Amino acid sequence: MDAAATLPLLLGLAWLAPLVSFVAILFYGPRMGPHGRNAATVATAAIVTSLVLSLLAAGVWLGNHPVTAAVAHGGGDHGATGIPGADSPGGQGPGHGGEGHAVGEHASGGHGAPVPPSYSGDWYTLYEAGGLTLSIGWWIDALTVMMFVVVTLIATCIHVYASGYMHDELHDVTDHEVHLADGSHLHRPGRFPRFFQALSLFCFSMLGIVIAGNLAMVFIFWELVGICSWFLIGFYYERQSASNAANKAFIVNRVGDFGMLIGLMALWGALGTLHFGDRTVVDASGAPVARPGLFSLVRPASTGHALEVPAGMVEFAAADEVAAVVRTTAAQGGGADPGAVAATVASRVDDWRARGLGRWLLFIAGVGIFCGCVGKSAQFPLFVWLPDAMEGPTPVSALVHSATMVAAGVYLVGRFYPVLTPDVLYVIAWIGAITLFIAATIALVANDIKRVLAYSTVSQLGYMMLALGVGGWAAGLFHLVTHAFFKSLLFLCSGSVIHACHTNDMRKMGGLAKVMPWTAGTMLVGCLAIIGAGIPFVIGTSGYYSKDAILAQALAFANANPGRGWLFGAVAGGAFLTAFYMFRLWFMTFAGEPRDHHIAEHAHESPPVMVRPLVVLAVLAVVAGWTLPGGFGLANLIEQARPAGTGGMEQGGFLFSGLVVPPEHESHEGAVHVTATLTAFATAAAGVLLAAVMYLWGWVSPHVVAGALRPAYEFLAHRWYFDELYHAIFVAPVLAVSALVSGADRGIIDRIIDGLAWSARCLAGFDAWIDKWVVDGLVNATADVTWNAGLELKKFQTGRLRQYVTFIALGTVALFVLLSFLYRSTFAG
Amino acid sequence: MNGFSPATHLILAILGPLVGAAVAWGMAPRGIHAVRQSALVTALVTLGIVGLLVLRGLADPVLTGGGAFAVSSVPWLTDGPFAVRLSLGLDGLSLWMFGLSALLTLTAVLVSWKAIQDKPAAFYMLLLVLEAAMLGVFAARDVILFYVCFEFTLVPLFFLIGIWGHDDRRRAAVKFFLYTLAGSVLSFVGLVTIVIWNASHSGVLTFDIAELTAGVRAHPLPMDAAGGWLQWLVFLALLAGFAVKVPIVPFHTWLPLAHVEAPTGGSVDLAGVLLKLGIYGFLRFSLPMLPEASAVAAPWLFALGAVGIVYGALVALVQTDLKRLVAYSSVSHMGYIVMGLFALEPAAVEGASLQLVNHGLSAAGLFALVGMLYERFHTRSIASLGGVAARAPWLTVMFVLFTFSSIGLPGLNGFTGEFLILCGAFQRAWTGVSPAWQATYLTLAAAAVGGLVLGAWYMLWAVERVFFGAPRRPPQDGDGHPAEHAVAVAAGPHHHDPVAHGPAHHGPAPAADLEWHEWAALAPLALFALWIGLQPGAFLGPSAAAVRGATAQAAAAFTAGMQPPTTAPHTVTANLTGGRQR
Repeated sequence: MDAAATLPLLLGLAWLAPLVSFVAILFYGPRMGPHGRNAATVATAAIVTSLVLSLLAAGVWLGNHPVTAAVAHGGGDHGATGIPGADSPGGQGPGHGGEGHAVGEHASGGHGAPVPPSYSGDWYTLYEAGGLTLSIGWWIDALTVMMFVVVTLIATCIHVYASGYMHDELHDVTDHEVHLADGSHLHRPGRFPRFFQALSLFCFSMLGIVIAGNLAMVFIFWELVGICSWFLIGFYYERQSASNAANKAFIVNRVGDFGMLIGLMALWGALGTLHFGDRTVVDASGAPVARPGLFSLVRPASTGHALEVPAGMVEFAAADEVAAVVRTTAAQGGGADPGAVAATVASRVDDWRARGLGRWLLFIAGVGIFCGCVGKSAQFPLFVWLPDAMEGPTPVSALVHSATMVAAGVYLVGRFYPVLTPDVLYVIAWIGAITLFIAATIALVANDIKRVLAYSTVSQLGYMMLALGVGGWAAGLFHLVTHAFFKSLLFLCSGSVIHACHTNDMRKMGGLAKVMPWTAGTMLVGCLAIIGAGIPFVIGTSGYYSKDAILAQALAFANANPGRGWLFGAVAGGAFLTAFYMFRLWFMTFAGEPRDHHIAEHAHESPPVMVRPLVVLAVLAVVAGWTLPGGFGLANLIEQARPAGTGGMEQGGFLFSGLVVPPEHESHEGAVHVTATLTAFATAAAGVLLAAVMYLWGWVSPHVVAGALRPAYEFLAHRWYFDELYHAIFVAPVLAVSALVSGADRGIIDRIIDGLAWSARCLAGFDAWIDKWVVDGLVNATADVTWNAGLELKKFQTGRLRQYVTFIALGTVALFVLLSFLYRSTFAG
Repeated sequence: MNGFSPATHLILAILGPLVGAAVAWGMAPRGIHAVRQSALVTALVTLGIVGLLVLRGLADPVLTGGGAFAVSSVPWLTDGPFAVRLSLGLDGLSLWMFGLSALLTLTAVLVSWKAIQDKPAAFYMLLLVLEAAMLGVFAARDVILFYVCFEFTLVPLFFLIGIWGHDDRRRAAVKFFLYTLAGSVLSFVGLVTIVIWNASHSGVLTFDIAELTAGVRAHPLPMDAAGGWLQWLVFLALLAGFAVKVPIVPFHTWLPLAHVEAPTGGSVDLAGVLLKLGIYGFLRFSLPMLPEASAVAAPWLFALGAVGIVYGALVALVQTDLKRLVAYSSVSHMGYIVMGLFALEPAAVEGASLQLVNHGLSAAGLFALVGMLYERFHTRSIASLGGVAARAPWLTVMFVLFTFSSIGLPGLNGFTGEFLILCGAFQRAWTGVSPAWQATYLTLAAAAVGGLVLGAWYMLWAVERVFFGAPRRPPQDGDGHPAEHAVAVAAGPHHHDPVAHGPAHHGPAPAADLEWHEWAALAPLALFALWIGLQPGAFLGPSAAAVRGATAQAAAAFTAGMQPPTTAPHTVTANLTGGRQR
């Protein structure tokens, strides 16, 4: 099959199916069966359709671009299959809605790195003028296809689960968390269809980010994801905490988007395009013009896809030099010939680039885009929204925390990877390391089962960012996928527990394994996966593979940058903390004796509709990391999408001198791999052991530990006081400034205006007095106008309003007459 | 529809509301129902006529090419050297605003349906007169007619605020009237100076805007000491009127007061159309006729726009009155438009022109909804409201929708306009200014991006406090305010739950959700918000040529003055071709 034509079609339809469901439920939701029960069926059918289409697309992809083991070792030795030539136009050629490009992996002999197969094009143009194109388009490579399958697969499980979990919303609900003024609880109609409506929109938005062919489109769906999260986190909007959390999520994300827009505008302003891929556009005369995309601009084929600062950015930074060229050209008689100037400038760009001009602009662009990812993927310092997002129904948490929203940030860093300079990567690694450590420490002491998982998500996202930052492109994205499986599993399990216990507080649980064996078992699988359990060098859960890859890459980075070895320490320490808090959670919830007998007696295993998705996800959490004989596996599939030129060693940063980003394939082999695997195993085992000592066997009482380390415990229990800190340094000052400005608005600006009006009135009164007593009837043109104004003002005071119509008409006519008089006397006379 | 010429069609559109106003006045003895029905019929018929005219305009390549459409010109004073004619017509600058004026009048009539019980005949008469003035100002092709209509919009609104407004209505009306009048008198002096200057060089005293534009381009007003800085003075004179009208910070203080005190229908027209007159004035007069002075002023107005964005947003953040909050959000949003206009980049000015319509829709929608809230709960205090979503779910849905439109959510109208404005502003900052200005421009553009964060903050904050949270019963003021009657009357057959106004009972007290006339008022705005959001090209395209034509001279003058050094390929293409590349 012709992949260039079928892939956009299949994935496009897979993307739109949830939108159809959204619109259908929006208009017909309440009429879909009793209480809108069938809305779940509609939404689930839509997402299953997406899943099937995504799987078909994956089939087409694999048929055209088989994944082989050879790919796994990356670097320079692939390219057996593929289309020769870097830019073979795909299919329909240039034109609206149909333009497409297919770029095949080509034999890398001779120059530079291999180009991964990819397809790009535009479906629909929102706006196009003066070089700016806002369009809805696609960029499809192995990563896109894989993310489609992962997102739709997990979303399908969550849809099925939610149709059981949300059954309370099928009839009138009494919300015990909402207290009315008269002391009673809120009684409201169920909102079953609305939940699935928002869920569908969420999936649509997320898939939009995944398939996006340009940054503007990413931003569009970025915002839509934000607003979907607003709807879903604030689903119980009568609860103050829920609507607060929804607003917090959206506004904190907007803070990240601030940076993202700055980055976006830096790219647009300096490069004039936001498209990832190369395009062919038709200019005014109808001739096709090639427009390189961002990836080719930053990593052009001419350099063997090595990173270089694009000419537009160099020229921008070399503004003074360009001005000199303009002056010289003009002095040499070239006049304002832009062609001559452009030619001279172009000839000197390499020179300027060698001087390092424009590097910081590329840095700002990269860091700016990353800021958006910091918001969406809940990285330090913007992670505060994610734990609060627990206010949403549990299936939403599962979706937000695994396949959508938070995944978007990591995905975008991965997608945008070719444009990120080593300096940016190092910033990303830093942020990731800080995030993973802070979040893991907070998770140690949290008692709300969902909050533990929330902080664990933040921490795992930190892992992914760190991996991407230290050069582990495939490792970070691999962990994104495996984490999506086990984190959605863990959340759905916690939802099952909450469903049974009607509480989130782990201190009231315990011993639940007996009453809910399926939940306990699947959650144990999830815990094992998240800590990366496995038999070293033999086999393991999915987390075993992805976490090892991250550790190995961090170790390789530490080896390559002797002064920056602490990053590896953060990763290893984080692994220990993860193991501890995850098993603390499991032991507190399922093991031992019930702490609250009332709860334990009423607990029950969840219905099959909720348990089945758990089993599916548990299986996936185990097997997702496996590579089949012959080389097929997620790791190799991701490797197939590796952006051109990013597999090798990246050296040098201008901010962080001596920075080396090691090539990723080296970390898979030899001593690095062995050390990393053993470290991972040892830290995880130690963590589990410690958790067992404290929470299973009870040899050391947690209370004693907490008491002995009281200040540290308080610090962690208050989540490092981040909320308080942000309130003190951001929210409160902004509100104070606002109050000040608002006061000035009324007290100063408005007063000045009123003062002016008052003086005009005084002046008019004075003028009227003179008019009456001094001038006495002598009316000259200037005074007339002033007098009119004064009269008007006085009349307003007396409240005789109607005369103003007359005044305006009279005034206009008077001016008109005056004008003609002037004209006659000046020109005609 | 081909039975009569577009010109006749246009005249009909303007005369329609005047006839309707007379009819509404004449219906006074027959009671409120007849009055408002006649007003509704007039608004609908006018909207129909205007809508068809807009469609005819869109089909006319002359209009989409930047020219004028439906032009008619009646000799008025052609004695001797005079060539004064009354000219009407539409072009790309005015087309959408012309249509929006008719649409928002319908909204204004419908939102006043029950709110206005006192002297309805006078109210609807004034509303329709206002519509005629608004249509006239956008259709005017000569200075005199423009200025008469421009000023005449003040009169009906003055009475609308002064008679049907809230407690402090008189002060608000007087302040609004005098402030804007004081500014626009100066504008008139400026316009007259242009006319005289042109007459002194061409020998014909013409008031035709197109002729004047061509005339001052052939003989620009002097922009140097030898010529007495005449162009600069005229620019400042025009600025005085337009800046107050927009309003550009710090000339905005009349706006919150006028909005808060105005009846809902007045607020809808004020926010939706009248604020746009200032921007329209810049596009129609300042930029094309005084390009050099505009170019000199551009950095300052760009800066004032950015300041306005942040300033308006900050003030909105601490408002306790929902209507005042929406009013300050208007100040903030008008800042984007001013900034986009004076970025003098194609993307930004097109974005600004789209944003005129966008803000007209979203601000009108929000003001209408605030009015509906007031009719139900007799308060606009954010602290007194709460949990409204449980009582009036559809009202909440609509408010959230217009909130999203206002904070620039993709898929709705606000996004494209703001995004284009930002793209243009940044492009200007990166590649279009001299190095000395660059840091300033970048800072200002970044401040505009910061406005997006603040915008989401104050709007969502308001939504949360007013609509979400536990439902509670706001204090009912029993002081016999006119709006109290409105609710009493509202308990008619459309009223689903009469319990709402009964004694206190358990759970959320259900208030009436949107009624038919409220749906009818909001639905068209919402539909257009969605339509523009999904297909902005359809709205940008027809006006693009005219908007670029209006700003091209000023942009060229700006570039000449700035000597931007960069010759990035895409910039060259954009500036040289200046056309759309489809």
